Amino acid sequence: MARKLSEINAGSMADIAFLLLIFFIITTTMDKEYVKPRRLPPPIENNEDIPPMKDRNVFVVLVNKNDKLLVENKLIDISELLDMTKEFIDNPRNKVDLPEKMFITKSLINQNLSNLKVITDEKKRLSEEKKWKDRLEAHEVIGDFWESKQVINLQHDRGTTYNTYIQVQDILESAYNQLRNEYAIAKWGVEFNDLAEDKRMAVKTVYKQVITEAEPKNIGGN
Amino acid sequence: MAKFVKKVSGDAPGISTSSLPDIIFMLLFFFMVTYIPKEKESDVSVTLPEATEFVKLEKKELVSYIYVGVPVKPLQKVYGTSPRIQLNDTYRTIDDIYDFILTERASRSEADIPNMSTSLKVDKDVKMGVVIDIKQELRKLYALNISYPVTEAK
Repeated sequence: MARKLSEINAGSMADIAFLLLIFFIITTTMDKEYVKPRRLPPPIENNEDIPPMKDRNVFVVLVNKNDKLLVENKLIDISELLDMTKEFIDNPRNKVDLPEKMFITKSLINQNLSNLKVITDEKKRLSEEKKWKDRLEAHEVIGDFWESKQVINLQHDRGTTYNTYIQVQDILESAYNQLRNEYAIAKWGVEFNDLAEDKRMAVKTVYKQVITEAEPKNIGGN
Repeated sequence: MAKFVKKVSGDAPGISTSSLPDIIFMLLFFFMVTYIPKEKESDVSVTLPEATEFVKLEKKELVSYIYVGVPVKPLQKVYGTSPRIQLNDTYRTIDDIYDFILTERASRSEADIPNMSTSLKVDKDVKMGVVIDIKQELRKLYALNISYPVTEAK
């Protein structure tokens, strides 16, 4: 005689599901990690020559092991760094001890793009090509513009504190971002971060973030 | 005498709860899919520096972590109080970075390798000497994508 199969009571399935759910709710992290992304330079081969750069175009920032700043051979407090950096990058009054500025016009761009063929060094040709292509794209958006030949060189000691290192980097980045923002607002009345992609790239080309780090030496304490 | 007839109860039929487990299962599957294993407790204590310029870390699955800081209280008896390097989960030295990166690369697919990066979680009071050495090792291996985690400055 077949017995009527009794149904398995499925009322506790929901309880099991709740337990597993609570476990996952507690352990899922939606952490947002904030970082400063960087690309390290490839290791130096001994036979590479670094092209010499004019003194006026390079902004030297030294941080010693006591976390004191020596900028362009002047001892400064960290609170002065931002304004000094902005003035350096932009060189609004065309001072002769601050970077040279190039006036980028269509004809200059075309001239340089056609001159690329004569550069024999493959690496150099590729980097120059990228630079001029970026300028070409920027020109499409904003027309003729002034570009500063600025380079920031950051050097620190082995004894410098990491916190100061990050703070200095932060201030240098802020300088670029504030200049970009001021330009965007002056030109289009829109904040830099809210610009369309092509305009953003153009402003980035006008104020290109060039922060190089030197191989560190032991800089004396004072 | 009139019989008192029990009125039929005026309730609407009760809400069927038979589909409740189904809803719960759906939520469960959602969480299982979005589950990111919490990072293991560091053996070194790291207070990140504050900054105002930063971006969100992308592609967390392709990130290798290097921690630099002072050992956590319980381990100080054994390891002392000077800053140490931790690679993912154990104390290491600079020379171990080479093998560490190669192992991390080996465990990822060929296509993913160029998108890998190393996150240097360094305590803010550590001196740059260690960080410089770590960066030199990474350069030798052409592990050039790095990032410095920071916390938001208030």
